[in-house]
Amino acid sequence: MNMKKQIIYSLGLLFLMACNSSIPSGKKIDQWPSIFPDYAEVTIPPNIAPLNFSLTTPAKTAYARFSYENHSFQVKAKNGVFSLPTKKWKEILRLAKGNQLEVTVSVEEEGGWSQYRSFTVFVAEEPVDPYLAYRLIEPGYELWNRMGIYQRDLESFSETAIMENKSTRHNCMNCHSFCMQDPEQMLFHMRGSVQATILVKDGQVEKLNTKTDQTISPLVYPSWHPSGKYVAFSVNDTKQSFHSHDPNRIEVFDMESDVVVYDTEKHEIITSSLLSSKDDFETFPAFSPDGKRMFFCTANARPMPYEYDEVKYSLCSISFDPVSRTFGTEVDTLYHAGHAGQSVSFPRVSPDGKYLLYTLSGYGNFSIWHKDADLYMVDLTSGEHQALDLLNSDDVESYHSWSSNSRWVVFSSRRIDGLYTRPYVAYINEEGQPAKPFLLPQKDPGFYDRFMKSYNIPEFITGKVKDHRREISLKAKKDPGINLRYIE
Amino acid sequence: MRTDFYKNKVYWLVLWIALFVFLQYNNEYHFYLIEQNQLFQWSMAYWLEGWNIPGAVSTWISEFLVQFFLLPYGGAGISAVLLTGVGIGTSLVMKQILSDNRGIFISLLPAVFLLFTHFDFNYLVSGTVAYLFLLIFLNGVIRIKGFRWRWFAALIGTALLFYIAGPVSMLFAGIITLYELGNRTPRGYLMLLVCAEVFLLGLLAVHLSWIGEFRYIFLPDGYYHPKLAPKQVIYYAWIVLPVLILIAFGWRRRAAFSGKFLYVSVGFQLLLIAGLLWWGIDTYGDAKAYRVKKLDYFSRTGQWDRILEECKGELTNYLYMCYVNMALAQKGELGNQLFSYDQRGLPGLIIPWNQTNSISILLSDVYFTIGDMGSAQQMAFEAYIGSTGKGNSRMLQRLVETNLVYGSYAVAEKYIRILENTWGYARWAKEKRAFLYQDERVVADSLLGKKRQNLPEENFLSQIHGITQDLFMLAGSDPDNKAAIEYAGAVYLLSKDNSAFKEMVETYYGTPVLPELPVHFQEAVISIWENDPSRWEYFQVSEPVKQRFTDFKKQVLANRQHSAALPNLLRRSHGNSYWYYLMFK
Repeated sequence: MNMKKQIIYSLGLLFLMACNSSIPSGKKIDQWPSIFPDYAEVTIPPNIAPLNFSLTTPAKTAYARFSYENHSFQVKAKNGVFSLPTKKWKEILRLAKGNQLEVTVSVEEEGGWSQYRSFTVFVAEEPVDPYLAYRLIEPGYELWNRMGIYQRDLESFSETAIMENKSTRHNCMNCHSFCMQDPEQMLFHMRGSVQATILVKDGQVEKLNTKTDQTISPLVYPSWHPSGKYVAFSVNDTKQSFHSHDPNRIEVFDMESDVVVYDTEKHEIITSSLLSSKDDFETFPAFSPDGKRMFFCTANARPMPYEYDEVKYSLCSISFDPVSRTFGTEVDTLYHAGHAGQSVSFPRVSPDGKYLLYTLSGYGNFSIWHKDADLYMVDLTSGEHQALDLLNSDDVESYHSWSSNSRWVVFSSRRIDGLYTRPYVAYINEEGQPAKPFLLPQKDPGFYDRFMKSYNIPEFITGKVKDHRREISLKAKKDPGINLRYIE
Repeated sequence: MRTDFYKNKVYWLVLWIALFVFLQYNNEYHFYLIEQNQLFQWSMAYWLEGWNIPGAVSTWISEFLVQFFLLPYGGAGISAVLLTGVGIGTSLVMKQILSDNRGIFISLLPAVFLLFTHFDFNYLVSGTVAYLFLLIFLNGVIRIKGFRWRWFAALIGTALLFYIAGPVSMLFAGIITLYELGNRTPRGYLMLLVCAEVFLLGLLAVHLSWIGEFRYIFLPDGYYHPKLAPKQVIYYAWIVLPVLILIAFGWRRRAAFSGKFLYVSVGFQLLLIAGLLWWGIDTYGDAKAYRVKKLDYFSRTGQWDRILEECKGELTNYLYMCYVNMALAQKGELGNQLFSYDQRGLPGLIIPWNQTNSISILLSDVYFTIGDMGSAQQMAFEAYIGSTGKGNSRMLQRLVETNLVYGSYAVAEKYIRILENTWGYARWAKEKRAFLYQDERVVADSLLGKKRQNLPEENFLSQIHGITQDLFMLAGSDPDNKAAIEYAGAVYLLSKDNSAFKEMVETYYGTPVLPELPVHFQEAVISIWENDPSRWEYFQVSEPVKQRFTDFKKQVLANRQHSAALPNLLRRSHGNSYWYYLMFK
């Protein structure tokens, strides 16, 4: 071996040693490090993007070591931020699937090095759907400016737009919904200067004019029938006001509401007297995964807005025959607001049909603005309800949806600053037991501090939504659209 | 040669000074308004937020510059530099074609048209920065000697300009092609490829949805509030540049101007510019809105006396009245001096919200004055969202204040963090940081503590039961909040609703909310119980008010026959009374 080669090998060895050297330990601190986001003891899917995090207390130098059995890697913090190398992260997740990672943080401060108590990160066997769709909008009162519906690749940090309002005269767009997490079948509404419901199915974009003379409003909160042939919607006359001195800043309430079902093939709207009573407010429909039942929320009508805090929604269900397009004649009640005293919103059934996740708050249906709103789950076999304490916080937990394998839920929470909703992902095992949720990781953990928009309606999807933006914008602006017919 | 160089320098310096003086004198407050609507953060994250959009660099530079509009002479100085730069850039292009200074005055036309667009507060300064980039690129490319290199530079320059400055790249491609055709360059038509290039880039930008609509990438609409349609004047600077190029080529065929023709030419150019300025400043100067801009600045800086000074005499706009009444409330004089200023009804007290940015800002100020924190916060948020740029710094300050008042410290901290990234508000934000999670400090602070005290004891949904009920709730919770009860009384007086006013004074008079009646409330008492002086005594109507009423009545009775002349007769002596408002307005 000549001298030149020797030097190269020596330098290489030194480099490898440097990479694998153990992090300075120093004195032990018997507590977990203070980090943001809080990833200690969370359960994560094996296909999630690196959990970059930052120290919330300043340190001169800091290292984090990620280890699983004989495998480990360490990261030095840059400006207090640990940015994990993607390849190493993916590799360690692959190895640790079904087990747990150990994370050890050491910091150098004035007094020397200290090592915090290690925390674990559980890696579930089951992956999460690779994409998450959401709307980004300021948590405002009435106005909006730039907004859009986006999709985030959960295996990386890449975010792309599904639709942005800059292409449609800065109108409002909302209520995106997918048929059984299928990115090929989706819909959303546009309001304002360009009004329509856009339905994308098998690559075809349709513009729907959904207001009929017989319905209260254009179609609002959607839930796809698993066949893709129907979509249940609420129709609502919604108003908004705001509190003068209350932790809940804004109050959104319905003056009246009904539930209808839209036939995507015949472009017709059907309903039942049990879903469109004048004496009750019906809203938030949700089909069961077998398509034979529809869950919804209903409350006795009250004089609005004066008794807004007296309106309490029960959780009910009704049978639905997709062949004859008919509803049953009996309504089952899963949660009786009159007896239990609280109000249900956003029922969502797990794709395996075992559980129904819902939000419970003191009154009303727009729980996204209610600090007391928490997530609950009912076992549809036993009828047993449980509060998901591990998922809940002192602040709002509200909108939620399931992954296609029924093992993951994503929900929006205002727990960080009390105003801006952020998406949290939690594992639910087959027995319906939840694990500690984790905040959707970002490349820069400081992102949430400066980001001035809320994550609205987070929905898992099994793949990337194709780019139909140009087609949608042309359709929305130029196409007259399809007028829906109401069938008595 | 050297003399020419210095002459030119002096010419442009004089021009800059003239522009600066004009803008400072006529538009000082316009710049403060522009600044507050374009929050700029000095951070990598802020740059990364918009780096991938065509025109990113000019947008960033303009937002960087606009932050200095906060300085007393900043807006005028910077705008004058930009516009003078456009003048210099255009004259250099003209000179390159003409080889002399014949077009030195006429080359001011783009700057003049851009000046007109600057008066419009929905215009983005990035349009002028982009125009400057266009001229820099144009001057750079046309100075290249060989056509092949020029063509190559134009091809590269167009793509670069597309990224740096956005839509002006279209103009660049058009002009550079015109230049080659005007020069009759052999194979000059190859420059059409540059037009094709920029056209393709534009198509790509829209089809890939980088840009929402074609007008934002092919037209100066890209430099305007995206939710609004610009006025025609925004296109003039774009039209006039190719026209000037054509004029230059036309003149080049003639010999250099001399003698009488030179004087005629210069005189014509000067007259054209002067006439254009005369017409344009009058047409586009936005003089109507200027007073509101001024009042907005006085409100922002708490100069209540200057608002009152500004609004003496006849007022023709509800916005002015809103500012006046807010200033009076701030000084604790609403009930005493309401009718000392021109009043025309309820909208002049609290103007109905029309969802525009400027009204949202005004209403946030009004509600903050009243102590209605919920509404002040709502309007601040709406104004923040509706701003021309990436937020409204002033309203973000309001959001910090209201959240500190409510004790919503986490979100207040978020906003403070953003303001700490700014040049103009970092110090203010740092000061406010001291209040985070410190209830005692908030309570002890003269402003925040007072506003926290204003919070109603019992929560209610705003504007469900009517504005006066909300005001009574506020006044009832904090009897020291005189603005709330005086606004409530003013609502009734301005609506001439004596029965509601009667109910109000019967309910609240003698309570801590209304221990004594201000002058106009006493006048209303006399109107309501004109024939029952015992009620005057009960409400402790002062002797001067009684005396004035006696005098008012006497004059009315004496001039009954001259009903048409009566309002004018009484205006001087009693125009500042409720009785006059009730009878004649």
